[in-house]
Amino acid sequence: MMETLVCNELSKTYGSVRALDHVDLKLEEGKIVGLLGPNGSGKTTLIKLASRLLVPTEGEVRICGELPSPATKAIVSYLPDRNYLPDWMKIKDLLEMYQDFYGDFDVQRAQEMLGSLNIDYDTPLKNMSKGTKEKVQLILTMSRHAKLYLLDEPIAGVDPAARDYILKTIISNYDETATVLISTHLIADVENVLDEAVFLKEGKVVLHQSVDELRDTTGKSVDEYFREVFKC
Amino acid sequence: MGWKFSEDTPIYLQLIEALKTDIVSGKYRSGDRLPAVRDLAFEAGVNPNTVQRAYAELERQGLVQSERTSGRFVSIDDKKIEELRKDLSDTYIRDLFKKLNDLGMDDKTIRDVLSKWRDE
Amino acid sequence: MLGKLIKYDFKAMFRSLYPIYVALIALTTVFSLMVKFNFDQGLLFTIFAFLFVAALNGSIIACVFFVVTRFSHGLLKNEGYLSFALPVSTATHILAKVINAIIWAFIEGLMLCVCMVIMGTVMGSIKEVAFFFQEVFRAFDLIERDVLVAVLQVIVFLILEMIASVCLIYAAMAVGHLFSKNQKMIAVAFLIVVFVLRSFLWVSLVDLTEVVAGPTHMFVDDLMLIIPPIVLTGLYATLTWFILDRRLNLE
Repeated sequence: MMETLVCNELSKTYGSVRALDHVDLKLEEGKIVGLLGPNGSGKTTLIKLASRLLVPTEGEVRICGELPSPATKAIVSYLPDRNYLPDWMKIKDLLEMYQDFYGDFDVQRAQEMLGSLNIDYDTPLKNMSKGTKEKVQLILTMSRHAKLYLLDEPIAGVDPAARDYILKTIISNYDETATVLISTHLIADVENVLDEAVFLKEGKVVLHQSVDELRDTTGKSVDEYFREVFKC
Repeated sequence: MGWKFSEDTPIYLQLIEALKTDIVSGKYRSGDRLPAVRDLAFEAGVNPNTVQRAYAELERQGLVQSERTSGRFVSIDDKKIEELRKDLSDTYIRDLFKKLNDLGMDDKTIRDVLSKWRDE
Repeated sequence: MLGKLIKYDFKAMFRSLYPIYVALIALTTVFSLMVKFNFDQGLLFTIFAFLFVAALNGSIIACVFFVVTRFSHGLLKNEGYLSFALPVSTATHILAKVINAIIWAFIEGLMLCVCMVIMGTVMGSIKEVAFFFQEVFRAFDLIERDVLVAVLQVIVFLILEMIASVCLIYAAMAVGHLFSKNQKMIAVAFLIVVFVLRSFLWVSLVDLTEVVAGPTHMFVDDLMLIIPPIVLTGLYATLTWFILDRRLNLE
């Protein structure tokens, strides 16, 4: 089976702070993987390294065998943990932009999903509610036929209904040969959609296991087990 | 979101149980087509691979047959439904007795309580 | 991809700048009309004269400001998450921003010319304006070839100097990005340091030229003139590229 994301001894330090500490990780295609850890455990750093918004201090990360480059960016669909789109842009501008820059952008798929949200194509982002904005960002991200989806905290700070919408959008839109990496600290909400769980603690991977196996062996939900591992 | 799942067992086992219940109760009859993997995943709010795994297990147990192009069908005769019903009810009853035992009731008390319940 | 990047920068710049240019042209027209119809006294005229001058200067300042923020917002703030996730190399991003600056410097120059033409047309007549341009072109014909070449050289030099300045400002913002606090102050400090270094370098370079070529040969027809801005552009662009490619750390 193809590995879409491989980290070898991947480390990143900011000044004297070690955000990622010799991480070894292999993610296979066709899996939805939870990147789970409390705030500051290195989740965002790992995702930024994979999308080449950061360069490793040590070690390497590979996307489908390649070091991060413009070519890997073409097959990675990245959802940052903030509003990253220019807020003056209207839906129609955004669709045009994604079509312009990403050869794998499926505009029909995006239009179908946007249609069910009942958003006017002439509304600029800045006039949308926070929840709608996040949905639009997710729709754009999931409308690409990428090999690797990197979703950084896609469900943080949205109401439960929007959360359901977001998770259902993820499971019904990712390509079967793709890997989806979802970083979050809200484990109970995502664990039903996960194949595998990766626990990050102070920049180290402390667990990488299939969710079924984890429930089988511990008799606990991922959420319960997480609380045990990370209890203060 | 989607269906409710308990926390301590793998989701695919819970899916299998839910699908078996649907078959026994007659929601899906012999020859009926089961929902596509993506559709069921969407409805239940779970990972498509989990649904795939549950379907594979049902196939292994001979309750479901997959046809390459047209999907998965319930393939089960009445005799087998009876067996399945008995299997499921055995599980529930065993569970019930275990829980009530844990409450400190012995089997005889449980039987008494049960017959009283039925009368009411 | 370069063309697409330039297109989106242009859209963003246009959004910010077109109201200013519309205002500039409107004020130019009003001001010229006031002068033409001898409405050139009193408070109202003073206000409009003031607004007109403010719009002239303001459009230049706004143009520089938006060129600078297109770089800092587009690459180093939240929008950087979008830009750097695009399948585009860092060098292409920087080149797009430099071209964006050149395009808008040109548009700004064009707008100022348009204002002059409007003033000329309203205060005088279209004939006079046409005559003016005719005279200018005739002057070009009359000028000796050598002088014309020299003039062109100066123009090329000024354009190269402008590109070097743009790259310097970009480099300063990139240097500021290396720090987690006081990024703007550090960028300005970097600019000041470079200005000081440059003037030292310039003085010694002029000395050197004089020594090598003699005092009479120093300017205008010397290729030496265009080498410093090209070299500096290369240096600044490389520094910017290195920081954005290897040291990027978006908040």
